Amino acid sequence: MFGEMVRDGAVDGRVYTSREVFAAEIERVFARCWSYVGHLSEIPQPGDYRRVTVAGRPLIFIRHEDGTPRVLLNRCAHRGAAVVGRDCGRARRLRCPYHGWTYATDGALKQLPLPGGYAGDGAPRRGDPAWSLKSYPVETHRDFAFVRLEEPQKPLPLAEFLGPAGEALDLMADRSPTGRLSVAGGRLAILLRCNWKVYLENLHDGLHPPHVHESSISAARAAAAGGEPREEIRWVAANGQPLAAFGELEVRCHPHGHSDMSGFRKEADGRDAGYREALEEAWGGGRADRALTRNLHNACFYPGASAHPQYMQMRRLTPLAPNRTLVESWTLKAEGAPESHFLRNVRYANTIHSPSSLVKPDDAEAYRRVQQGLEGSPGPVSQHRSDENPGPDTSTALSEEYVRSQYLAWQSYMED
Amino acid sequence: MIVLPENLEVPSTRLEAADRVLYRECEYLNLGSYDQWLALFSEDCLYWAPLAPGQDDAKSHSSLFHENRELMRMRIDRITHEAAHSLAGGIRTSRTAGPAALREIEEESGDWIVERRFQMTERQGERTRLFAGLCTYRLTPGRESFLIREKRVDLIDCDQPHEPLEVFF
Repeated sequence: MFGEMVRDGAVDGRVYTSREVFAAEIERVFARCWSYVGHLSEIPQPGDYRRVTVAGRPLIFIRHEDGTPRVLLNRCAHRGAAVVGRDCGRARRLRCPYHGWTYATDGALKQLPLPGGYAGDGAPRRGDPAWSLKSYPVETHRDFAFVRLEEPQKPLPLAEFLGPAGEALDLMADRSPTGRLSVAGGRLAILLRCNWKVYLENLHDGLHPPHVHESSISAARAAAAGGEPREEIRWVAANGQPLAAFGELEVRCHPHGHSDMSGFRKEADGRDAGYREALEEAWGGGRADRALTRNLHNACFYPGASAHPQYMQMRRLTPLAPNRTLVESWTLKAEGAPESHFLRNVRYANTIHSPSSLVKPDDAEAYRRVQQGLEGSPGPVSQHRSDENPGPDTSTALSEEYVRSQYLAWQSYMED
Repeated sequence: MIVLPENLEVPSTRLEAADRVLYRECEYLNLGSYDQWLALFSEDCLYWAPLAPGQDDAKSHSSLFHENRELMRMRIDRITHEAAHSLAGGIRTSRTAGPAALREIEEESGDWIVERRFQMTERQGERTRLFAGLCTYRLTPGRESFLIREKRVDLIDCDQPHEPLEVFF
């Protein structure tokens, strides 16, 4: 029944506003897809953990004592209390603060008080898997860890789920001659008053910048008038390029709703002495060159994550309600890359992903207005825009092809 | 009047001058008089709101705000632009500051380091929200008054998610 809400380049506006649709999306889309849960560098030592919420489930992303990453449900098997209360930390055992049930870092129940006092068949016992913290499958791609909370009818391994979209993660890891990255510089987090899909549908939208970003483009142009502008000004001003230039940005749509866009905001990153050579030695010339020059802007891992390899940004989207969405972003530091790149990428994160970004408020306002309009009067929402001269395999940032591709994936998940 | 550390005496005219700068800094923002507000700052000024509690580095760690005079000017130009869609419903702010305290006078630069607690209520469109935290000022003495060389704002919830932050605290 949900599948019928999408047809012929238009969707029923209720997909953005209905509580019923939202609840189904959490279970059928978010819980059944591979969701980005964190980078392994965030839990470097056994016992290191971070709390994460995915598809409404409170989770613990933790390094088990054997070194493998695990994802556990943060819910005591006894009375359901959240076992872990801190955002992050290190623990040899996870002990529930309520009645002291204690678990190993793989979720196994290790201790419970008064163990002789639980009567009846199936009563809680030490080591009984039925009384462990629930554990979920985790797979990694170049140390980016993904979790799957419910098994779909046709489960895919992570590599197959990501497919060609995984290139964005490879480009980031390949910026280090050792392939090692670490999350550094904190987490930026912004709350949006819109449905999660409104945010995703803007990722490669080349038609909105001149309208939505008029105020920041104008301010950046005034700031740039004095001469060679600093990079923060340049990044904001990039939204002011002519529409024809957005028509030059190549957008690729991949299976399962993933997509990426190349060409926006280019940096020349191969000039630092010895760096290119180190990458060439590690990965070979072609791969090193790709890592340094291929710029995928807002590579989207549908439905919940996106990456921006050139600036080493990873973002995770969390749907909170039909009209509320959280977007978090992290900067990754590449071991063996010039420090100047990392410092620039932190400035980039401040400029583009901070809640104080000069670019964000007008995006957020456009999303809020979409939500506001649809809540008052659903009706159909158009996604008809196409390129005037479409390419055989790709589209451009002036086409809504990637939005239609997202809805193809949405339909297949929602009907599964 | 600014609270002084023990064993430190400064001429009352200097204290009054610093007090006036701090009063105006807050009130110009409340009134939306951004050009007058920016004129209180030195050419080499910095406006910084850290992302993490106790953050001591703004280069290798992200910040909520980290702006020099040029970027502060750009923010003012954006929020006063007629096409700032997010501000179409208007924005009103009210900041209330607690007593200011002089922490130290830096020997080398002569700069005054002054702290004060603040609360800000912001009404934007149909939404009202609250911010609270500590402001730390670096005041550079001039002949008659002071210029603000740095304003640091440590929000009590700096590490939590926020809806867009558009105006200065």
